[in-house]
Amino acid sequence: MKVSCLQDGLQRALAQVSRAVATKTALPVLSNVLLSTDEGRLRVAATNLEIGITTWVGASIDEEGKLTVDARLLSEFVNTLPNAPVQLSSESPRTILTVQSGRDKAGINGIDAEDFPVIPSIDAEAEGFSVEVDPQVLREMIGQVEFAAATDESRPVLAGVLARFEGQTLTLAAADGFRLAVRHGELTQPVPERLDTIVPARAMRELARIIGDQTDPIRIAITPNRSQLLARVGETEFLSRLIDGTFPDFRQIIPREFATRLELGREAFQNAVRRASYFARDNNDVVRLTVHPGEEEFMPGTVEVSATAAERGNSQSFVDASITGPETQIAFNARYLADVLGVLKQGQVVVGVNGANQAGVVKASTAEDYTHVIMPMVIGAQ
Amino acid sequence: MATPGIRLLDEQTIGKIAAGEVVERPASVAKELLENALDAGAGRVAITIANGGNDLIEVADDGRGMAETDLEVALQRHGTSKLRRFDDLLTLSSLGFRGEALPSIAAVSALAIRTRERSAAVGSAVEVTFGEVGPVRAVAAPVGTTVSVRDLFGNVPVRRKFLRQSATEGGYIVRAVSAYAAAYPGVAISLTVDGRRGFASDGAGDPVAAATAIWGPEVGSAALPLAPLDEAAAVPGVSVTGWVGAPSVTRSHRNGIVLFVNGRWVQNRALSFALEETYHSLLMVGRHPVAVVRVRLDPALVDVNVHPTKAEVKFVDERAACRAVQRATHAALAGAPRDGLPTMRLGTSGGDVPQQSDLAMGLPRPVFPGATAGDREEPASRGGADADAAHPSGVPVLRVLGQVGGTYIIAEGPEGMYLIDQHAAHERVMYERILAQLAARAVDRQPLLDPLLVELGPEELAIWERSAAELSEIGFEIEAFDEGTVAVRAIPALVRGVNVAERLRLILRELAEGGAGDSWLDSVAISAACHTSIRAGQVLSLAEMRELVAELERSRQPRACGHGRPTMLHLAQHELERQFSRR
Repeated sequence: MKVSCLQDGLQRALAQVSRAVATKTALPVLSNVLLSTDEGRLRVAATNLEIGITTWVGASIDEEGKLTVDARLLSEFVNTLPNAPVQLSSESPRTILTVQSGRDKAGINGIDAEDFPVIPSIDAEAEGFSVEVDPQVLREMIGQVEFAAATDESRPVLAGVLARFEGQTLTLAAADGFRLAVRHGELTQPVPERLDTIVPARAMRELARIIGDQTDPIRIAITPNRSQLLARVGETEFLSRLIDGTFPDFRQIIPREFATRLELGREAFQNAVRRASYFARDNNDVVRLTVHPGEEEFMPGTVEVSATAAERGNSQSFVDASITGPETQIAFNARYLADVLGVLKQGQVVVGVNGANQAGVVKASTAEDYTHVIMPMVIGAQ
Repeated sequence: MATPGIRLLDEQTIGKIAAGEVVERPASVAKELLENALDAGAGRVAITIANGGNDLIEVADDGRGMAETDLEVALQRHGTSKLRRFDDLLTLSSLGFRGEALPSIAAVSALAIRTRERSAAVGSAVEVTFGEVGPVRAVAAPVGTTVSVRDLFGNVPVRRKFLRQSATEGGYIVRAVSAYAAAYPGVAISLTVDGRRGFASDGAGDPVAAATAIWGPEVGSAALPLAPLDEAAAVPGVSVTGWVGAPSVTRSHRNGIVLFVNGRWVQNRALSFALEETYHSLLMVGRHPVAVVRVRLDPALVDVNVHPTKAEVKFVDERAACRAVQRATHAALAGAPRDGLPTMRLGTSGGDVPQQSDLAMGLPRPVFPGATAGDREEPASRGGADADAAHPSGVPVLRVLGQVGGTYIIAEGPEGMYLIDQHAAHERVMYERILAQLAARAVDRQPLLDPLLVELGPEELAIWERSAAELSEIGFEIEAFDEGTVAVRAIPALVRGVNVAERLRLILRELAEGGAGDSWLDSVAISAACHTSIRAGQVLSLAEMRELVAELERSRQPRACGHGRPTMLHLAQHELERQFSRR
């Protein structure tokens, strides 16, 4: 292999794939990055078998070839080089990569490219399911649901985010047994048939990161055996394994009607919850919402946000709200409230409750595309 | 053929038979003679034995002594100064009373007594050889009584045969003498074994100093004196004194528990069980505490005449006695000084690779002779009383440094390095939180969005049925769902980020093996705390470790998990210095 490319392009590519490099692995080749010549460009790829990231760098190729070398070492060396052409070369069958820029030179011991796992490319799977999505819509959708996925392995499907393609709609949903986040978004063109896939939440977060500020539509493909998801984001391809299984039917969990409905300013509510959470820390994160409707119909009411920790003290905050329905009290985990209030963009939010023991709903007052369901906490008699 | 007629036994045979009851083995001789010395008001008792007591047992005291006439009576069966009529038994305050000991011993040995009353100008001496009493002679003698017993069981070869090796018999004597020396710190008791000094207590009256003299500084520094209880906690009519060992010093047997009732060494299962129960969850399974506990109560409320050796007693109100022991022990353990942490001692440098067995628990701090009990409790640190008040629990303020093997947190404290078992530590924290919520009747639950179905095996299902009420009390809402399946509807709010189905099965499996708590609810709480806490092998961030250590510092009994496994090991500064040859 004998390749020349620009330092900044190579540095960006190595940074892009670095998130897929395995850090703790029994398979040394997985902590390497694969460099290969590919139709006049340099292909840079990494995988930890959970996800894989491939990207391409413009290069002038004098001699075809491929090799894997330690991702971190190469990246660290390249990062310090001046922004000038970098020559990468190796003499097969030797597995030493020579990196040269002006008078700076390194020889990095590598591993044969044949040992590196094959990362499928999106074009090779053209016959499978494929759809185009607006990148910024997808990124926002991921941000609003992925945090609700389970972090334990009780039910493997809950460690993932459901991606449902149906008609012209993409639905993302995640739940950890105590809360559920559902977000709908529009596809640029309809899909012929409904398709459900479950993507690990970690992979979803990586995809959102790779999307970054990208504005060109991104193409998502599912391998025919439905075991992997591929996404092309500009010059980068992202690959994730899919979780096998059936996601619970979340629609029946979402309450449609509420005995008490409050509408209040997101920021004021968020601040009140944050203040209470400091006191809730020592009491299982319990935050109480006490809903006081206005004295007369259409009069504004207040929501009291309070927390008590037996040994630390207590706090109360009052937030103005327009309230329909009777006075009520409900307790939530402060972190669950903080999480959802942090991802809502709109200025006004709606909270719907049906008594202290039924699931509550948090959503934006003006948009119907996002719903967050939280199970309240049942408080022992004090 | 004439059948043998019924005849009265001769004196010697009666003596030999009776001796069998009182004098089982050399240790019983030593105990009887020592009790006599204590009854005689001795301030100093010297015991000398040779060849496990078979060749010689000599007890010399500086007590009242006996007059010449008393000496003759003392050697007759039921000759005693301690009891005049049967009713006296009810108000007995002396150790002996049956008047059996001396004649019984005299029947099976070569016994010599030399005694002088303080007021008498000369002493008296007498020798008895296997029941044959010799003439009483006037001799020169120090004030007090010296009894020497030689050739024990020389005329009872069968008994000799049943005795164990002299080392074993000698061990029994040491145990008995140690017990009395520990329980009578006001009497200077010394023991000499085969010409070597065994131990000598100073007789100054401090039970902890006596324990140090008898069992060494390891036990001495762990001894927590039993203070008188305040009126609310005290059990009327029963007083408990002595000391109990901190949980850091344990034994694999119960011989470390020494019980005295009204000054008499006794074996009493109920009392020793009550004592051990107080240590519940502080000691590992199979480990037993050390303690010297003296119970004193109205002699009318205890029957000591159950057995000739008086090793057993019957209480009129056994539960009151147990309650008193438990309360006193509990109070002492709650105020345990913080240096009661298990301490590790590495193998000597250049020796074998340190193994588990080289980690000796409880490296003693140097104990200075004459230190009072009060001094002893003062932790040897710069922290002083303030630091102690801020951390009544017994864990110093620790700075987390890192994690070893994803399992142990390394921390630094004022007195060296600490290794904290993250699972045991978190289990302790969870256990106390569950108990606190139960006590406050404020168990918070986090219901699930949709029920979690968990398949249970037949055995798990049976134990779930037995434990459903207790599980619900600590916050698990579980219903029967289907054949072999239960539906979990809510979990305790304390439980975070765990695989509920898997952990529930683990809890049930542990309960199926019997449970580790005082009550079934306690067992359920212990199992739930264990199986919902951080596991070994779980990599923690520095912040998580700090939080865990801070919570451990706040817990009431930070040194052991609910199952009694230790939560931390201490590698003392001086031990580090020793290992690096700085000292």
